[in-house]
Amino acid sequence: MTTSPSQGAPARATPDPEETLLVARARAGDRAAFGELIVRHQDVVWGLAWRLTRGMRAQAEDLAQESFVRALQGIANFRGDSAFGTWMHRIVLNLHINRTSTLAARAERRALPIGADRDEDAYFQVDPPTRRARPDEEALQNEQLALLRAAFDDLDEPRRIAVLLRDVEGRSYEEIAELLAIPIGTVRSRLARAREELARKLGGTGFGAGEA
Amino acid sequence: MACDRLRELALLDVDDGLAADERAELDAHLAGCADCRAARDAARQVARGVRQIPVPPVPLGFSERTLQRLERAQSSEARPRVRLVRFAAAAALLAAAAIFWIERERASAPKNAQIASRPPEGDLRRLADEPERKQAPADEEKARSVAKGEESPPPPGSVAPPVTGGAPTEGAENPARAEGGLNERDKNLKDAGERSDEERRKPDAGAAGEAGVASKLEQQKEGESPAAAAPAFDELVRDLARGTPAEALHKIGALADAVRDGEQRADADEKAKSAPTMKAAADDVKKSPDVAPPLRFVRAHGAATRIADLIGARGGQVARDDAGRFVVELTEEEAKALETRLAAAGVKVETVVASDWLAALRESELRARERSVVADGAVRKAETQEPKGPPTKAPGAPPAEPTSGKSRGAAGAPSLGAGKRQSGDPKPPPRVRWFLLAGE
Repeated sequence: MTTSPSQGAPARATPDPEETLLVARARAGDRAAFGELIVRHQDVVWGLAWRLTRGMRAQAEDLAQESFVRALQGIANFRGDSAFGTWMHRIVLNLHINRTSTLAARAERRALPIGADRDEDAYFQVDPPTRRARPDEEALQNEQLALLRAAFDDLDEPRRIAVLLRDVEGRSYEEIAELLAIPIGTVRSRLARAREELARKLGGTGFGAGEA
Repeated sequence: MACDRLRELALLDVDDGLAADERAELDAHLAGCADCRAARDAARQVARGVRQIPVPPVPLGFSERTLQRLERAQSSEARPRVRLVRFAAAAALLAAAAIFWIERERASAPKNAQIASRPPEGDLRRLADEPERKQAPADEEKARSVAKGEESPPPPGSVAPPVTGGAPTEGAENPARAEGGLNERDKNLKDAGERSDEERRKPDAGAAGEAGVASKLEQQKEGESPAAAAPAFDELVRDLARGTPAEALHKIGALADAVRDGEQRADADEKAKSAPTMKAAADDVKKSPDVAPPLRFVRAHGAATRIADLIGARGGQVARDDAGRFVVELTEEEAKALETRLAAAGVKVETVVASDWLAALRESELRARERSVVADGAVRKAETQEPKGPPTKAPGAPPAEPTSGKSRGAAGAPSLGAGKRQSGDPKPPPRVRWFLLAGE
């Protein structure tokens, strides 16, 4: 069972009063209130962690859990200027960037083959484009989509995050630039190059050859 | 080429990714450029496809596991505090051990080095220049206050210790003042002799304690003794409070080493105390004049100092004057042994019957006095001159105590020469006397 494609969209609406109250209670040490916040935002956090970790289930769950831990530890610093979901989104992204920027993480990523730690039951077990999807991958309803996922995961990290934030999360150039601490021109350039690369890799499969 | 520049705009033309002017320019270009139009369409398709990549549902029990992880994180946050408390307790224990060591060392140090309880430098001079105290015999409190240095010190040079047959009044510019001062001094010396070791050990017991601290600080500067070089206790405590825990532990360890070193010396002193006092001292000087005796407070710059230290280490009374001369307490027998040993060892010191010297300062009209001098290994007996009249006994002069062995009076304190004169006595009573040992 998979969630809808819009699952990863961050909560960008104005925080509702109930959530504000939950945040206040959690800040006061109410563990139940923070548990409620976890339930409310776990879908978004999980989806982002899943994508950021290229579908590695264990890493995705670790990233998501650690993000909530960091959120509770720093909830005193949450001013409420943005929605709690937005704040959580930033925590997940920053934590992932910090982790992947370390030399150890880079070495680990180089050592692991694509999909080595992926959940066999939930992930698109996609080989290079010449390989066909396995029959048990029920989630793979479209081979082109599976290939797109493989190509997407093969993007280098900056381009992949740019596509994730813009095309999946729907964030503006300004937000991405702020999150990644890079100029807007760099965001646009990375995004254009990533789309171009994806289109090129998927050109032989009929995906991205033209407007659907 | 316009196509290259507009290709990026075409790739960004997804979900309102272009500004109005950019869009207008791109639209104008796309009308005549199929490649750029295809690139834009591919970009839109890719973006849409990426957005459609499914995400598996949140794992079951995710929130519970997250809360459990929160519990573990918070407990791990508390662990450093526990470790901190444990370290604080360990540090307090170590500090208590250090305090115990220091106090034990303080308690044992005076036995080994009573030189620390010497009257302060300048004490004799202050006493000599002190205003007259006609009621001094009954005024021990005043004497103690003088000993504590509460009186302002007199100008230097008021006391010139006699050495070799000089007139005893040479240094007493004001005989009347000297008289009172001598009375006080005599009282003070007696008082110092009668005070218990415990009283003398008290650091705040007066000038003697202050002199001990000053002496210790002086030795710290000289760095002659590891134990003496240990910082003062208050300073140590403050020092331990600073720095890292590792530094504090290192300091405590260094302190323990210093204390252990002092204890070893104390053991050696305990053994030495069982030996004949001055004989052992003289032997030490003779046999190893260049080796510092096992004392806590050691000044090895002069034989007289070393002798004084040895005497003090063996329980004798030691005082010191401004000129660096030491007043030590000896029995007659010890005085003889000292004379003999020092002469044989060739130690250049001068010894004077302190009580005679004090009496000479006090009684300026007294011409006759006894004095023995040991100089350059040759014992010379001072010429004895009988006073023209009966000696004027100062009010504060202690009475002769021939039976108690505490006589310091000129009449009741025979000098070495007197001891020689009394050599015919089959059983001369041992009498404690004060000698002045001049430095080299």
